[in-house]
Amino acid sequence: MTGDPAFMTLAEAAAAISTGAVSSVELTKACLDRLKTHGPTLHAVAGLDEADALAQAEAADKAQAAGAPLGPLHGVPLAHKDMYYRAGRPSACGSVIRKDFVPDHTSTALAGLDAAGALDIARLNMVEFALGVTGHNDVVGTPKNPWNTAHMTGGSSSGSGAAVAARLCYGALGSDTGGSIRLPAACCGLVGMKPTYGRVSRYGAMPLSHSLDTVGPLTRTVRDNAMMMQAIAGPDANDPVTASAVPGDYLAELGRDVSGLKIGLPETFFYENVAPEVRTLVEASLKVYEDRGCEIVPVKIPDAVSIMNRLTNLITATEGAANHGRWLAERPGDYGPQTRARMSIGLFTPANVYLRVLTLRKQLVREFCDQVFRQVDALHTPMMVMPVPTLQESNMAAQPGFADYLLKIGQNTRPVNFLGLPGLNMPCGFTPDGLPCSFQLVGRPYSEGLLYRLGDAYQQATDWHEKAPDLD
Amino acid sequence: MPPSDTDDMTTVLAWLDQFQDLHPNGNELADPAAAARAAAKAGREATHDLPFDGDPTGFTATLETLARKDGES
Repeated sequence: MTGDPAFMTLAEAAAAISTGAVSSVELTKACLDRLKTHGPTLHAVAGLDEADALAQAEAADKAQAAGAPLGPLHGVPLAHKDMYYRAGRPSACGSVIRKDFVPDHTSTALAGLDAAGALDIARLNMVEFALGVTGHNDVVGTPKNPWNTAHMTGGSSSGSGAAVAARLCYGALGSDTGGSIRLPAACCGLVGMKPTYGRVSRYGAMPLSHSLDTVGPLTRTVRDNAMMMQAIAGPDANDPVTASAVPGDYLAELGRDVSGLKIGLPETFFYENVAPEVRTLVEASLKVYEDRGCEIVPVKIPDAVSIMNRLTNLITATEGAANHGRWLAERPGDYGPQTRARMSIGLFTPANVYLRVLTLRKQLVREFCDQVFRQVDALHTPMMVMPVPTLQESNMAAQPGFADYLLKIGQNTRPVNFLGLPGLNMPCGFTPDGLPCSFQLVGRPYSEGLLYRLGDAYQQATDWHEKAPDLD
Repeated sequence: MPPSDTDDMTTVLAWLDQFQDLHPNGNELADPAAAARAAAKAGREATHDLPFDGDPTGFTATLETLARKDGES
C-alpha cells in the first residue's frame, strides 16, 4: 500500500468522494498517471482520451458541488474492455478489422454505470474479438501480467485484468463466454463475476456467441464487484434473453452470516489435472469456510460435465463463425492466425448437431441443479488447474495440440458457461512462482447475491486482495 | 499443419469453397478441421438420446425455473 489514491478500493474511492475527502479529479489524475506510466508497459490500454477523462471528472465534481443527487459510483474512474459501445467513440474489439468502427449507440451496461455516476476513462485491450483464453492478441499486441510480465494475463478480458490489478482504474467490465472474466481475474489476482446468463444485458456489447455471452465486472474486492454488478444487472428490452426478475440487493448480502451454508466439494471432474501447488491453496480456502461455520459437503458431479467443455467450444465457434462469416470470406488475412483458426472450427459444425446441443443444454442444467444444488448452496472448485503459464508456453498459435491445451485452461470455466450458471472467481493466494491462484464459487441461476456473500466472508478472513503487484 | 490433417485439407478447402464460398487463399487453418470433427462427434454422441421433439429455444426461461424460490438474490 502506498499513499497513491489509485490504491484505494472502488468502495473506498466512492466513499471518499461522497464525503468530500477527495475529488473525482484527484482520483482521475491518479489513474491517468498510472495509465500513462504502466499502461504501455503492460499493453493494457486500447484507447485513452485524457482531456475527456478529466472533463468527466470535473463535471462530476461540479455536480456534487451543486448538490445534485449522487449515484453509488459517483466520480469513480473505471475503464472497460474495448467491446462496450459508446455512441461516437471507437470500439476496436481488439481487432484490425474493427479499428475504425464507431458505434451509434451506447451499451446498456455502460449506461447503467453512467447512471450510477461512474466515469469511463479508457478503453482496455482484449483478445481479438474476445475469442481466446490466454490473452494473446496477434494483431494489436498482448497484455502482460502485472505480477510478472513474462506471464499471461488470461483472456479474453486481458486488459481489464491487467489494468485493475495494476491499479490503473478501480474496476472494469469484462465479458465471459467460456471463462473470459474469470480467467483474467484468476491470473491477475482479482475478483471476477460471470453472472447468470441473462442477468446482465449484452445490448451494445460486441457479440461473440449469443447463447453464451455474459457481461460482468473485474475488481479488487467482492464489495467493489457487487457495487458494479448492482449498476448493470437487470432486465433490458433491448436484449431479449435478459431475465425478467429484478435483481436483489447485492450489497445487503455482504457481511451476512455464512454459518450453516453448505459448500459443495466436487468429488469428480473439477479436480482433474490440478497441479499440487494449486490444490494446496484451493483446499486451504475451504478451511476458511469451515472456520466460519460452513459445512463442506462432498458432491458427485454429473458425468455429463466432462463433455461440456467441448460443447461450449462448439457453440462458441459456430455462433462466432456465423457472426464473422462475411469477414472470414472477405478479409481472412486481417485476422490473427489464432483467432482465424479458432473461428474456423465453427465453419464445419453441422447445423443439426448445433441445434441438438442447444436442446441438450436445457436438460443438462436441470440435471446439474437437481444433483448438485439440491445438496449444497454453492459449489467450490479450483479456477485454473495449473499455475499461471508464461506468455511463451501458452502461445500455442495454431500449432498441433493447441485445442487440447486451451481446453485444459478453461476446464473449470466452460461448463459453467454451458450451464448458464453464475461463477465467481476468488483469489486465494500465490503459487511459489509469485503468481495469483484462485478458486471458483458456482451457484444456482440468479444466486449472485449468495456468491457475493460467500466471497465477502472469505475476504473478511483473509488479506490476499490487499496485495498489489510491484510495478516500480 | 499436423500431418494427420494434411490429407484432409484438400477436402476441407473444397468444402469451404463449394458450401461456404470461402477462400482462405493460403491462410493457415492448421488443425481446426480436426478440432471441428472432434467437436461435432462429441455433440452427436452427447445428444444421441435426446427425444425427437426437443426444443432448443427458451434457455433463459429454463434458468428462471431453477432459481431459488425463497427470495435469495
